[in-house]
Amino acid sequence: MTHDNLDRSLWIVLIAVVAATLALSFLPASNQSAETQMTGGRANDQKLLREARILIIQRRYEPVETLIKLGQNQQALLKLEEISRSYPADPHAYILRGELLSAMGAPAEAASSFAQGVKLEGGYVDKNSPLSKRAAISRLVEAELSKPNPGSSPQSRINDIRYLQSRLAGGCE
Amino acid sequence: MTITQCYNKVAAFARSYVRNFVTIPITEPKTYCTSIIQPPQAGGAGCFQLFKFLPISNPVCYTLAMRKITYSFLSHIPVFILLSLAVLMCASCENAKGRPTYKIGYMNCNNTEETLKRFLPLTRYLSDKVGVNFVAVPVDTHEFETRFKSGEFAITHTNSLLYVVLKERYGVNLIATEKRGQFGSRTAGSLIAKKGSGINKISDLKGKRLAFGPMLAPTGYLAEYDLMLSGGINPESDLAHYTIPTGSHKHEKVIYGVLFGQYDAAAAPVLDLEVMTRDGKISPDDFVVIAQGPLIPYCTFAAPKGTDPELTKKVRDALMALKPTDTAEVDGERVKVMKSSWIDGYEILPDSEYDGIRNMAKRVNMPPYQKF
Amino acid sequence: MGLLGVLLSVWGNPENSGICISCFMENSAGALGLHGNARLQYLRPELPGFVLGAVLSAFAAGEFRPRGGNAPVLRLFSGLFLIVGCAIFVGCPIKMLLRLCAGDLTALIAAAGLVSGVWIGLQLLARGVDLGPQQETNSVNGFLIPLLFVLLFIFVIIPPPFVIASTEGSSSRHAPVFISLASGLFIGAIAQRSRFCITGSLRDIILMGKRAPQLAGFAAFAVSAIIVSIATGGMRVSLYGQPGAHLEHFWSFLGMLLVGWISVMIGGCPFRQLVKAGEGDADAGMAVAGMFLGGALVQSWGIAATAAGVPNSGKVAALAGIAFALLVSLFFRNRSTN
Repeated sequence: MTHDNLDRSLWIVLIAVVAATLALSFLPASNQSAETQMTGGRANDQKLLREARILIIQRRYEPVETLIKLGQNQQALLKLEEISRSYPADPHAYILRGELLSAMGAPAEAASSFAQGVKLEGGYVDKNSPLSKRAAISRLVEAELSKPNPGSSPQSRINDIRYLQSRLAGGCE
Repeated sequence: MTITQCYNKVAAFARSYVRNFVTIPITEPKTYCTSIIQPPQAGGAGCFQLFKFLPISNPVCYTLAMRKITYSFLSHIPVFILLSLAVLMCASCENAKGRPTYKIGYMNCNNTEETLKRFLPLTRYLSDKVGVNFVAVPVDTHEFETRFKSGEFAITHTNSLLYVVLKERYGVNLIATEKRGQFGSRTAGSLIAKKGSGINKISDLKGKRLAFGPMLAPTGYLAEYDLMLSGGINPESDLAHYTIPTGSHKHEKVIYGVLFGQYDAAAAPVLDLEVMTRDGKISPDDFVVIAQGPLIPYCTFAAPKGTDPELTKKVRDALMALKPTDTAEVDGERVKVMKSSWIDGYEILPDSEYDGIRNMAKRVNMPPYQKF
Repeated sequence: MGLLGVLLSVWGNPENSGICISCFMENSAGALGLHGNARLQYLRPELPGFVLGAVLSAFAAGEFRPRGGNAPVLRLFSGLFLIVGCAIFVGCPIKMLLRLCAGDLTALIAAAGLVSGVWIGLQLLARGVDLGPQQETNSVNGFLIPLLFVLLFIFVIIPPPFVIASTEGSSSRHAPVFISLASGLFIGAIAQRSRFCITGSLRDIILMGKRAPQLAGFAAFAVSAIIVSIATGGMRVSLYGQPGAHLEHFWSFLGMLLVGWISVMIGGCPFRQLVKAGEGDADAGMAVAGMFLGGALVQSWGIAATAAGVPNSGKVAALAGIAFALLVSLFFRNRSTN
């Protein structure tokens, strides 16, 4: 390992480079402006996106939420349909529709809508998500599973309930 | 020339062709392999029967003979494919011609043209799946019972109120209920008024002008009539007047009528409100839903008592197996059945699901419980 | 391991995922910015724990032996396809056992797939399929992967800003860092000593039957996991509504068949590859690098299955994996032995 002068030189340079690497890793950055661009960017972006999404959802679906609060569920459903013309793949629309259909006595259609929403955005069944609708989805699934002879329902309906049941059970995604 | 004659001619030609193919004239192989190839026995001078006298013991002769047979075979493949197709087509024509024919009575929603355009692909699909010839027959709502009574239809497709009428009076058997819109196989009727008109609840309708849809429409007449009665309004005496627009597209007419001020309120099926909103024809900001009836089954396939149960089962299975990707041929074009028929699928509901309609019909004094 | 596998879930890891090498790989690849699924980004402390536990144990027993040079690129791709197979089933062979021990009956068909894969691999081994002998190699080769995991260990203790941690989804759920690390170190060390490997155990059971000592090992794993599952309320025997499980049984079977087959080919399941990399096996290190790559790709390319089922790209990837295994079997076969 230290056969000749070249070996010894390489060792010395290696030790110096490792020391410099460690020093750079743990010492405060010398060029702060370059640093802010590099570090933490992705985490900040994700946080910003989450917050922005919540604000956009609140603003976009405010008329629907207002109608729901007034008890005008059919009107809210129609308003949701109108909004969905502009944002057809928004998972929040599916979740709101699921809540409305569940309240209006269409549990199978509600489960289908919930399942579509959760497939697009899993946060709706998370316990700790600000968008979580876990309680409403859980209530619906339990009610459907407690019905006598659920196996006689059409396959697509059973699949939706089982999918939601599996997502509510947790596990890896 | 009839199809049968055509079929026989093609079949005879194909048979002779096949005969010529399997009997190959013996020329070069004989020259090269005289010692091995045996002379033709019976059945045609100068020919040997394929496979029977194939000289497999001599490799040179075998290769030559096989090469000739292979060339001959390859040169005939395209002709064979064309012939087979022709024979198959003729056979299928014959087959289709020989299948029994049944009529499906489709209750007109708006008009005959629309009904035919809408349900022809579904009818073709059912014919393909069930293996019989179904004919789509559009029928006006008020004519339906009379034509049904004459035994014209093997299958009926009606709104849920007409199904109840046919069930109570003639004992039809439920096949499947159509799914369309957000409530799936069920739908509802609603009362709407223009936003800002001051009409926000059923009692506000007193002395106002109201438009209904067709009289036998469960979600365009029956449900709303029942809603008003339960809300303390008797449409016969408490409204300024009520009307039913003439012509087709009555549901759309009553909705537009409210938005353009022709009527103060209207009986609007929620499915029409949903479809018109989705199509951008109306905005929910322009009207208010005063009240909504209960969810009741949507359009329904049924079979008269005399229809073969096996046929009924096959139709039900075909309807339940219908997928968005299924197609049918109409006027030389392949179209998607569900999309062209405005269908989201089918569901088998128990007859008890129609009890809501029965109860409403009793309260509103409508068929099949109408008392004079 | 069965005990800790269930307890790690109780302490915070997602249900039935106390130990899951493929999930941990996907999570860690996401945390290092190798894929963009914001719900699957967390540097799982168990991973450096497994490798460093094996390193320490190997050193203590004098078994750290740098070796390698045996079809390295092939092993990289094998590692990738191991994760593809696991992602189709939603879990590695250890998680498959944990799911079974928690009453998840969908794992039964996957277990059949794994056994079939091991059996196919064994049949091919017996007919001359061999990646070739390993050689003693320069010690730097054996140290590089452990050093990488030392770096990840430091990232776990002092997270640098570029390491992302999900705030939502299954990756936001984890046991306390030091419990995960300690469990990982312990499991890595005992696995190094015992040569624990799910597919290796299956291989021995297939070859030796009841005489295989691994049978007792399996039984110990299962009994401890079942007891803890029942005690902690995690046991629910059903085919439906299981955590992170789907009902596309054919693809579960095929995914685990792929895992079993490749594992026999490269000498160990995903977990065993980590432990062997900790013993200085540079070939296993290449497989681990491939597993990291696989963890990133199954998320970036939408290959991974979810409770909703197996996406089409996942089915294509699984079949590509089978094609890969077939190609290896064809081109790495010593026909003179037959």
